[in-house]
Amino acid sequence: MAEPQSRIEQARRRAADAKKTLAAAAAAGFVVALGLAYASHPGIAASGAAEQGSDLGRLEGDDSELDDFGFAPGSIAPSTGGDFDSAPQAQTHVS
Amino acid sequence: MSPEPASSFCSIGTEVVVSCASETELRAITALFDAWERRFSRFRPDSELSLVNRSRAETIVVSPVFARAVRAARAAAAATDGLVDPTLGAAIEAAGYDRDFSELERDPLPLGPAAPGAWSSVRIAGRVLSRPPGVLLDLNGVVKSMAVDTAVRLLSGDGFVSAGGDLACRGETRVSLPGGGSVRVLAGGVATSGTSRRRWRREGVVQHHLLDARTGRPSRSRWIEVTVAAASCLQADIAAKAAFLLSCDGPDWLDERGLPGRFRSTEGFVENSAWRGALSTSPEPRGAAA
Repeated sequence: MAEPQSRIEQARRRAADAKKTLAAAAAAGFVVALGLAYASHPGIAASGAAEQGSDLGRLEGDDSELDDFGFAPGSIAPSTGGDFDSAPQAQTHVS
Repeated sequence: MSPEPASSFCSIGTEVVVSCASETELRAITALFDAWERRFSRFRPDSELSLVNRSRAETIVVSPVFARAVRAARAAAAATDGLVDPTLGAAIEAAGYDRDFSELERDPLPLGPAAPGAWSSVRIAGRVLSRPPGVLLDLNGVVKSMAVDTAVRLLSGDGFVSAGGDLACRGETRVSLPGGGSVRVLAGGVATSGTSRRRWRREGVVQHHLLDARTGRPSRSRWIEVTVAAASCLQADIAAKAAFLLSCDGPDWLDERGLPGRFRSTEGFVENSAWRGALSTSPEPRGAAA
């Protein structure tokens, strides 16, 4: 049969429990604050629903192609010849 | 559902034309452009670009799309030795382009202080962006052509997406060029940059949006327009801007990179060697282009 705890031991246990509770609450508060800060940041908050809710994210492409910007020529040919009738026709302007 | 031949809508300050897209594809492309306009507009106070430019923090976390545009803009600046600079936001405002182009009028206000470019001071690591205080980003030098490249990937078949002077295609496309003439684009993109459309006045002096990063003022290029064909619309757009800003050195600069370019001045057209070479070769059979 366990011996009854002294009042001092009971007080120490209560203090230890209170410290644990306080530490857990502080950690939880920190995580919540971090999450709120992240969610309210301009870069995150400005994410449009159209981008969030669609597959546009997968179209972002390979970022490595942007880090090493190399020029490669396009493929153009005279406007006559080829599949002239069926090719779509575009009118470009000036940017 | 059968694809529509061509549809158009207005976004990012210009007309966007989409060819051979299904209704679903067209909706997705429209949503993409609208989302990018909301994010990168200099004229929307709630755009991410405006929020970043207003932020006093030297380091800031940005969205993945924004980070990607900054990365592309930095790479473009490096590839052009700083000619195409993403830090000319203050300079373009100083020149008077501080509202949507359709609202610009003859302006009696004086020019603002010159603000040369400082692209190398901009850092991006993942989504963490840092830049010195006072540096205003303007990512429109890459955003429109990136949107065109991204949009054309949404097409399931052959077709094209164009926005102003920027075009990317899947499959062969006949492209009529500003100022006359046309080419067949077999793959990649074509872009025309110039001053024939976006011009306005400040202090009685004509201003335009192609700025010399060294001075922070509109460039005094001899060209009115430069058209370049490249493997992507983004590459073509960057190269066209750089060639324009290089003025007389533009044709050789493009030739050194194997890029076909056509230059328009008040005296007529000049084509560089790569352009002449591409248009003098036998037409390739459909589908043969890489």
